[in-house]
Amino acid sequence: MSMGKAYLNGQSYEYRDGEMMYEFASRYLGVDEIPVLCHDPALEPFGACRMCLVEVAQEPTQPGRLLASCHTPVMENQYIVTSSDRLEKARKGILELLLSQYPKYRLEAVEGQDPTVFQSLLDQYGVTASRYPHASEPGVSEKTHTYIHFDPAECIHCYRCIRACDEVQGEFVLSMANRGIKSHIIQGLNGTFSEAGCVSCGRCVQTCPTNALTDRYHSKTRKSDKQVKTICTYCGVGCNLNVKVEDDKVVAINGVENARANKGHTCVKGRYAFEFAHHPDRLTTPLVRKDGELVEVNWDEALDVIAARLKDIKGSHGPDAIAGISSARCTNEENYLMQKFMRAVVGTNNIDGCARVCHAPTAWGMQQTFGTGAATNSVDEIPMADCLLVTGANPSYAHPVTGARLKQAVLKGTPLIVIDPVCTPLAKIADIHLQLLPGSNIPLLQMFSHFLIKHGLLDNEFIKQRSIGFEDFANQILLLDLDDLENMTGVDRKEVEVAALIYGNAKNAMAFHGLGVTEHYQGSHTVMFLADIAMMTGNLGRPGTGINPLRGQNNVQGAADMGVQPHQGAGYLDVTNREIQDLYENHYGVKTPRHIGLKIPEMFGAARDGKLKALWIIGEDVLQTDPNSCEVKYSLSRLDLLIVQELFMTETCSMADVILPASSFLEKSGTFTNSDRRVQKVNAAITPRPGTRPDGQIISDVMNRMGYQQGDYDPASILSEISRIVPFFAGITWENIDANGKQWPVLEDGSETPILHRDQFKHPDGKGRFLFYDFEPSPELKKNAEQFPYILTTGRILEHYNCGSMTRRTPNAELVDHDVLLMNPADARKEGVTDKGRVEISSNNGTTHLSVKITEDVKPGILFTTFHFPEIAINHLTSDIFDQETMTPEYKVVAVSVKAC
Amino acid sequence: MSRNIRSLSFRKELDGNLFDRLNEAARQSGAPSDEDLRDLAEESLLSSAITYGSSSFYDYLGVQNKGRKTWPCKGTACLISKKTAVGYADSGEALCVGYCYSGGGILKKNETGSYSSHHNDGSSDTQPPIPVYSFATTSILTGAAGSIRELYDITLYKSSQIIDHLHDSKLRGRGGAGFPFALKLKACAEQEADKKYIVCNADEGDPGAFSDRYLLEQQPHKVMAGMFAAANATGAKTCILYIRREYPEAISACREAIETFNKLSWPISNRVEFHIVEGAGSYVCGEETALLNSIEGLRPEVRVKPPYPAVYGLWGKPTVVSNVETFANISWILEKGGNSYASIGTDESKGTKLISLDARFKRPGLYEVDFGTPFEALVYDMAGGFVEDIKALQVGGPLGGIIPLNKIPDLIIDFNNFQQAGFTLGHGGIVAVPKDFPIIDFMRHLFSYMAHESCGKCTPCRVGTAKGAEILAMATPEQPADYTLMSELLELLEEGSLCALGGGLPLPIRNCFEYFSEELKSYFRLWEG
Repeated sequence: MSMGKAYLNGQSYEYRDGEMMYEFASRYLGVDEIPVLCHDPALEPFGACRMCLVEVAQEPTQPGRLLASCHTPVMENQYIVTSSDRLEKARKGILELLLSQYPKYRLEAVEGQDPTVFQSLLDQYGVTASRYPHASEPGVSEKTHTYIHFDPAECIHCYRCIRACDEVQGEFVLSMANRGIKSHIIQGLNGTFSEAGCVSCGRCVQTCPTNALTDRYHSKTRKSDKQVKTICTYCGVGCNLNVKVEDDKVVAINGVENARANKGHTCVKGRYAFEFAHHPDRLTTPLVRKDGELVEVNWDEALDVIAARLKDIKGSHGPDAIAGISSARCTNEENYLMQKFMRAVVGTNNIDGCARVCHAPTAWGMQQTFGTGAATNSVDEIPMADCLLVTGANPSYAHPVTGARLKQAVLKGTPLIVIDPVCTPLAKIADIHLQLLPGSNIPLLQMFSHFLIKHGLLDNEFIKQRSIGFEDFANQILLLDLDDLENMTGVDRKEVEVAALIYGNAKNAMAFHGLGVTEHYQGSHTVMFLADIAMMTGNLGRPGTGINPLRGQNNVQGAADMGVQPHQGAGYLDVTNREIQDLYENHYGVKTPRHIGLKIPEMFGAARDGKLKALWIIGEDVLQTDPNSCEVKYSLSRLDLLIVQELFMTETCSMADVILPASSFLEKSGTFTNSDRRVQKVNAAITPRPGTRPDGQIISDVMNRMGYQQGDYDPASILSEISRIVPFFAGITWENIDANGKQWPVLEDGSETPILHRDQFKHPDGKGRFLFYDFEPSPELKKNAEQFPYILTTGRILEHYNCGSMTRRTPNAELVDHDVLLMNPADARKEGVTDKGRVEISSNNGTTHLSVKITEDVKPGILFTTFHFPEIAINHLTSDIFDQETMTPEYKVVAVSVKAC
Repeated sequence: MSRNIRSLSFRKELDGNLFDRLNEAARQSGAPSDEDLRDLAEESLLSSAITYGSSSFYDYLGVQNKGRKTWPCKGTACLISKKTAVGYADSGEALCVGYCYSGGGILKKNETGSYSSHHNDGSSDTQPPIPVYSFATTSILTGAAGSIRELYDITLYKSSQIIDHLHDSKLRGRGGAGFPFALKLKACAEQEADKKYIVCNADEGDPGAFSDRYLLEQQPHKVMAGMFAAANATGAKTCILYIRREYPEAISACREAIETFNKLSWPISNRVEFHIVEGAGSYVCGEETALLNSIEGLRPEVRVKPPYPAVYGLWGKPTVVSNVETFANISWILEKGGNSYASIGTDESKGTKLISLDARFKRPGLYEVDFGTPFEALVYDMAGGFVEDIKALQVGGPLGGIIPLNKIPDLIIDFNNFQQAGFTLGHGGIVAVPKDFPIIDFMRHLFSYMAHESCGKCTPCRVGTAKGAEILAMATPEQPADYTLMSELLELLEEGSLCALGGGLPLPIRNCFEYFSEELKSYFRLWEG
């Protein structure tokens, strides 16, 4: 970056090329040196308020011109004066003008709140009245939204809300209407936030320098005892949150402005869905089933029961009669402890986590191809990509902050290809939307590969130097019949060809994928095809490239890293390998099991067959979220001991023998690892709710009761233990995780790795593997399509999270209070279904009822629903087909029939 | 500055762009319906807030325009001529239809949704032609155009040397700022980009000036040939004429001219595409970045500069934006050579200048004069003085200086000369202020006009113009206004405004205070004027 010199208040400083005067002055003299109202560093310079005027001259003796520092670049040898009588007068003049349109009774902060930016500036400049004729701001209040409120009275026309909605979230909910003094902020057609398509991210509220935009928590100005920085728990983006706490209660949440993971942004869940923590439904006492009834007991009794019964079962049936399901919602340290408990204390590899029902195929597939099962790059690099490929993911809803970043790039012109059966918000703005039939990812990616090969869009050097198996792979691809592939996918080959041309010609192409890739019969193979496409075009190892799974839960990456899977221990080390076993035994100080344990679906099978006697589930409502619920219920009923650790009573809890009230993420510390492999610090904002314990503490309590010496749950010491066994955590310590966390692998010296596979892949020979697989249509369709002619596929909605146990206990439930079935108008006509009408849908496994939204977002023959409300019990319908390699359930393809009711 | 909306807008570029679509939607009823706004939001991948926000900005698109069929001119000249057309039902107001030479202008819409402009003399609507006089050594702008084909051929032949010639000619932009045109062209030519644009700013709606109207209606090929040359010099392939709604005849003349152009054989017509974008009623669209935003369908709020349009212009691409009259000079320069052009005029202002004189002059109309012509000669000799007692001239539109008669002999037609004297030549529109017209009313008019036209983006202009207008409206000898406050406001407007609209207003107001202190004294307290 080239530098020059310019003067600030007579002192010479180096400026950066293209740097605005405001940034220049802020860097050297502090952010408060120049007052601003319309400027927000997260937004583009706008130049509206004119508070940031500075005096600028080419000679020190010349009288300066007044220039707005927020949008005027510094030039060589300029003399910039940031405060003077003249500036003071001008700034006071601006404030006085603004005050003439501002309510006279709102000059000071509302009682119990901090002053707004505008109120602070009025105070700082001593402007208390305006000599101009006073008038009210035009525009009407909008207070119909669950969270966000608008009151034009305090609006000072800084446009920050409009720009935040546009430049950060990309929704364009807000604009200005009319012009001049009559101009005023509008939502949609001067209507409400909801009508205008507001996604309730609250970025407008956070940036507004007055109380024109506020929310039900007064998040911005709410006074608090303390603010604690922590990490959001609602998805894998890893947003940094500032949690305001008063009297040990969470009172508001704001995004952390400078955090690399989210740059001040959050979604409606991260910012607003926190009231569950204080909800009266919280479990606060351990419960033990006695004579068929769940009875409140104290912690000691509950823990004694668990220890005694596990010991008993282990004694009579062996350690493999016991299994554990850890939680991707918990910290790395807790996940590490849970797998350690199963392996070192119980003595079984029967440990698995919810990655099984989501991204296990990603981990497995990418391990086959690259040798490492994690995102190769970071969302930070999105602006560096020249093409974006999003497959089977709706990040706008499921990973909203990443979704917004993707949208920003696409809005600014980066070509986007979406492969998805549903017309998602991103598909609507995509250059190409390949709207395939659910379950046909493989033939689509084969077609994609075909055109890349046919058009010679290959990085031959990369293929030669860094991979093996391409020739065979390419030959197999070229043998495929395009007519067949077209028929299987329902997508015109020309569209696929155009997509391949865009992707193949891009200098840097970056791929993202979600559960629409993995939750399929051939999920793992689909991941590998995506990886193949990146490899053959050389889109790996550079900024703005790679294969990047969008992780659904806050720590699903971390849980797998910590060894929450039956075949690999902490650090993905093979549990069947003798040397590794020695390593673990040495580390844990006890013998560890030698054979691979059970995956979650196998656990249910073993329970059904009477082989598994005890199951300990942390924070997962398997009865609502795992497929084919009736079968799951039967399996659970066959257990001798079901332990569930939860925040709330769930469907699964109702079958438990012991229920342990756990503390939420707001009540504990540790680390989460986000989708970018970024290990970030989670800090307890409030103390554990009375009666609850952090999951990690519960595990260590049981460990001790079962005779293993484990200290109290202390993230720092456990992290240090982890860093001794997990190779890519080698240089991580509690103390050295800085404000933005660290992206693993973290070397001994503490340096991080934003981009994987720069020079070689993680296989012993350093080369990536091309592996070809034939397409095999899902047995679900083969078996049931005739009787059940529609294909049902599922996904998340923005406002709710998975089983909904948390978000349904927040005002998010006011925003969305039921699941909806999307249906094409042609199908609706055929079935005699009206918009908002109810239908009965049935699969081979079960039946449920839903209300319908008629939309072109799904093609005829395809249905889509979300799954957040227990009453629809959508998993009564889902099948028992699994990914061939990892047993991840095929949630995304269910053959169903529809009947209007 | 919404790069996002700009980028989405670029997906459609000039094919069904939001702004055009809004204009279409309003053609019959006067304003797009809510349904239109929703449909257009979907069509443009934007939102109804954006479509509503944009349409509500304009005089001829906002809901207030619904059902209107006539818009009597309320421009300065018509206002002063007291000939403002009256007696029309459902009428709005037009801010200058360019009949300043007769007064009583009116814009009308017929049943098919097409517009026409007229002069109303109280009984009937007529379309008196613009009287044109040339006192220039060479009538570069008002002279007969000759062969259309040759006009373009000239620019084609010399396309590699276009910038050099323009540099030699010292041609300065005629929009008011007087920026050297060759520099603009060069900056754009130096950019590497997949697209570039040439935009003719035919929306300089200075009440009092009708020179653009004349050129667009009667010399469209001179204007277009200049744009064509600029395209050849910069590598642009698309030329856009953004023409104000108030000049419907100019729009149709340019439409015809484009058809003629398109019929010219190779290698002319295949070089560039000409497009017309119709304005929708907003003075600030004469500011180049607001104009670009307007074409893009954004609210025409002024952008921050830098980046300048030559680097980041229409749809973020390198763009030359210049005034109608500037472009109209270019074919002559390329035919006769830059040096020949530079031999006309003064040291700082080269060539000829079009001056519009309003109906208070004995011989109102459009004058072409050499730069350097004494102002007095123009006013008294060429135009024959005035038809009634006059106390001042406002030169250069509503942001131009107010020149008392006794200052006329000090001035010559020259950008710098006017500026040094504390005035501005601007666009060359001249409105004479009758002796019996109270100067306080003139100031009220200017402030209200700017308050009406302010885009509302920056604080000084949005709030300041409105408050200033209010202060002046309330000022009476019984309850005089606070002069200190007014002068502080002028300072704030001048130093703090984002663009020349707010920044330019203090000039005429200060002129009024300076030259008409006697008249104004009683309206202000704490003033020792």
